[in-house]
Amino acid sequence: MSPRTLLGEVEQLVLLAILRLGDGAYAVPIRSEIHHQTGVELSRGSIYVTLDRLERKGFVASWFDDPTPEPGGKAKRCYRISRDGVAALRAARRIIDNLQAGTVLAPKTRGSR
Amino acid sequence: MTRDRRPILERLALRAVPAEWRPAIAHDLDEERDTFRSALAFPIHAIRAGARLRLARARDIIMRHHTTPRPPRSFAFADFTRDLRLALRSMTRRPLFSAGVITTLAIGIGANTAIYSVFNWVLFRPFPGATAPSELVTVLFQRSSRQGGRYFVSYRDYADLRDGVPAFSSLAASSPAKVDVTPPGATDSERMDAEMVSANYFATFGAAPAPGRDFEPSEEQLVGVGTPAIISRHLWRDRFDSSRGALGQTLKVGGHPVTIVGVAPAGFQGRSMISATDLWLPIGAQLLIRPRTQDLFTNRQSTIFSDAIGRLREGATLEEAQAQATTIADTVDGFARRTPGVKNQVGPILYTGVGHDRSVVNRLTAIFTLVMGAVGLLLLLACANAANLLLARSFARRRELAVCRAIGASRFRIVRQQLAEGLVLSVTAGAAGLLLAVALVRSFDGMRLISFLPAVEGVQIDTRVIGFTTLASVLTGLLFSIVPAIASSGVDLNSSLKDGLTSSPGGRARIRSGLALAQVAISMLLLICAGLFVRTLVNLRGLDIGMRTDGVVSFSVDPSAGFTRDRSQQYLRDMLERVRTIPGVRHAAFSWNTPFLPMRMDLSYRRPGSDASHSAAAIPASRGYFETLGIPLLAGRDFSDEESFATGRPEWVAIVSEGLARTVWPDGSPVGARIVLDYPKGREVEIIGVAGNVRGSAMARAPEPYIYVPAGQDFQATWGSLHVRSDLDLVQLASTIRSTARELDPNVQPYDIEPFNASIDRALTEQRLFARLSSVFAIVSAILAAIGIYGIMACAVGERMREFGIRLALGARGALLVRSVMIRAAWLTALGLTVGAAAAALATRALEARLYGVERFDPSTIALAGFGLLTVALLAGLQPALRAARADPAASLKAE
Repeated sequence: MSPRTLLGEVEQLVLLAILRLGDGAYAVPIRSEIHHQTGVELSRGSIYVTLDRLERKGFVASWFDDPTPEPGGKAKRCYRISRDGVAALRAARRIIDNLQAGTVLAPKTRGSR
Repeated sequence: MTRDRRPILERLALRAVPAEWRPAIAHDLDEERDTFRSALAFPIHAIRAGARLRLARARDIIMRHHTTPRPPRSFAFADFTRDLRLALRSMTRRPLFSAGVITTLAIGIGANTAIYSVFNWVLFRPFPGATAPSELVTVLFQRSSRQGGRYFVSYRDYADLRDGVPAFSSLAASSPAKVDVTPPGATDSERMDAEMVSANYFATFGAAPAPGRDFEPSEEQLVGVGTPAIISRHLWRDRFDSSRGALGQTLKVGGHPVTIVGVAPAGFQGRSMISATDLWLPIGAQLLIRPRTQDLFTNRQSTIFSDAIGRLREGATLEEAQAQATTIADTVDGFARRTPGVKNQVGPILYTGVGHDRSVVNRLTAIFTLVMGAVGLLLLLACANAANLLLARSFARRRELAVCRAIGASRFRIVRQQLAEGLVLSVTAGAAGLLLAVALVRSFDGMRLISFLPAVEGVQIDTRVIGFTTLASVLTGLLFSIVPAIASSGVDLNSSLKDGLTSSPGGRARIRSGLALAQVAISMLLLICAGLFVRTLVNLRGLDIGMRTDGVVSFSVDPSAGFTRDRSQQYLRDMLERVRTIPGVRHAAFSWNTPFLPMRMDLSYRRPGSDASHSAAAIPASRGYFETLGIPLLAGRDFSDEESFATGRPEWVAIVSEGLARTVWPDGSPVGARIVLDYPKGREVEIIGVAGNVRGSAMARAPEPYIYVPAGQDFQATWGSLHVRSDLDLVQLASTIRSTARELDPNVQPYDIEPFNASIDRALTEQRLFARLSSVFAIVSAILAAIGIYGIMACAVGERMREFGIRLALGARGALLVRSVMIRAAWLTALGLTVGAAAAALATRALEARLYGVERFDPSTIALAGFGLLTVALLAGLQPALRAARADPAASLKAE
């Protein structure tokens, strides 16, 4: 698993929020969804940066709901999670699970193996 | 499209957001606007989001986290290398086109580089063999107005400057002389270049002799036994096989023994950059070879130095040294034979640099400017040609460029790409040109390119030349590709993409016509210059110089090194007698100088009882001078043998030229009249004859007045030339002359044995150089211009083939089409000729001083150049014109 496909924490949150919201999710509901479900309040900038990066990695796809957005005008930028995005989420889940398997989430003790 | 009506602050804030995010963020923030408590929230959030996006992207690029590479947005190295790669690919993809452009440019750049490297070698190469040559200063002795000639000063004047100018760490003096040297073991002497130098001479140059030693201060004034000599590196190599055994051996200089104590260091060839010294002697040796200068070291009247070489002390400036030297000249009593109270007297004038005579540098610079101007024009022409080729190709490529534009390449990007292609071509051409220049310069080796310089030898292509070539290539590349690049970047997308063949881009055609016109104009200018130079040369060649010198051989002898004045005169007389008795010799005569030799003496004279003084060039000569050189004696008689050389006869005589006779005695013959000379003062001489007018090395000037005086009498020539009219060939005569001289005195050797006409030829070297170079340039330029005309006509016809086909289909006759195309070519050429002639009218002003017998606006030269060029251009346009008549009507109609 290359570090390129390793998902960051915020990236995971954003991807999961898009999954929950379904096709057509955009920045404003994504942010409030994360806030409502997890209590984590991300800045708008973080959302945009994360979406931007996820799209460049190919994990989400975007489109404008207005087919001809003009510079300076406005148009909703909607997102859908891609197949790679789903795979990446699964992989991230598995990494955590693998690492966690057989461990007890308790205060660290030396030589407990 | 609706205009954005949001407040300007918000609009500005949104500019902070990357363009592709702008609509989305504008939308999102608008949606959340209700939750914002302040009016500033929108812009603040927008700016923040934009900044974060940009920062994150930048970081990702730096950390290489991005997955799909994006092109960098500004001009960066990556762009540059890509431009170059593309350019190289495009160059190799069209090898024929590229070869055409590269050849054209390489000829231009090569010619420029070759000419530049020769002048660079002559004018700018560092003084060879000296340490820190930039600290060296030449001290000349001139009148303070800096005008007029150079004057000689005495050893005492030199010593005053040497000891009285603290800004100099040392000041050396040298007096060049030609001497007859007999190497050890040899029986014959050889003519060599020597310098009598101060003891600090080598130290001043920072060129310590090795092996061996430098002169010691005590040897500077040494006279007689034990005179030391330092020999040059090449003399050491040629005569002594570079063996240390040379040290301590004895040479004979003018019959006097001198001992070799050292060898000049490698590379050092003496004080002049344009001639090499063979040996150096201390100043005292002057008394050995010129026995008449007795009180050399004490008398300010014994002048020997015309210059001195100073080395500036560290931190000292030329101005300081000049001020100090001027103070010495003003305060020392009788410095440089000054008379108190007289203004504008001779004094030391300092110049930076050594090795070149100022007047030589000035003359060279003038020639350099002219020749560089001509080759520069040639390069310009090559540029126009290359630009035309490039433009023609960009026309063929317009669809490719239109596609580039259509898929988003900016206009700047396309211009840049084309400039890169131009640069790749021109730099390749520059490299080829450099190779061409190396070959050209090699072929110059040993050629006397300029009359007053020795043959060029070992011209180096140094960093300065390479810098010049690089600069020339880059400028050339930009120059020839900028116009086509800009012209083709503005392609009309629609028509180009649809079908290029029907659209005829008028602007480009105009540019191409302009380029062809410029080529014709430049070519015309060069042709006119060449015509003027050739006519000048022809005129000068055809001039009646007043002499019949075919079959006359001249040579020089200088017995004065080692002989007293009387013995020298005796020698000259004896030598002349012996030469006259050589079988086959019809006439022979001696003269100190001739109108075609650089030595010159002017005499002032007046009629007795009159104050009006005139001046004439003097030629001290012997009997037979006029007969030998074929100068008619118009009245009176020649000198007698007794009058020719000093015999103490009391009658003083002279012969004058016709021109002089006419001015002074407008009515009547001067024979028998008397004139008073200023040298020696007040000498009254009787005029015994009138000789025909003759011209001298400044052949373009009207014949000067000449006054011929006997070689003996007052002048007492101790060296000079003998002229021989004979039926023998040069080689035979030369060997006889040498053996005759050897019999007379083995220590004196005749030198410069050559036909008299060679000295006349030398007077024309410069004109010949100009005529030849400008002719070559003009011919090359005419060929380039013809190629240019051909190119533009071929393209114009190619673009209009369909039209021609339709016209033929509609019944036009082929001849009509040919005529219309030819008329266009003729118009273009005629326009170019006019512009060229107008440019020539302005440019030839710079040549005026170099023309003879032809006006700079010479109608027949202009007409001839114009006619020639027009013919060439029409021939070049003929093939495309004929092609127009062969257009296929069927094909045109099918395409429509």
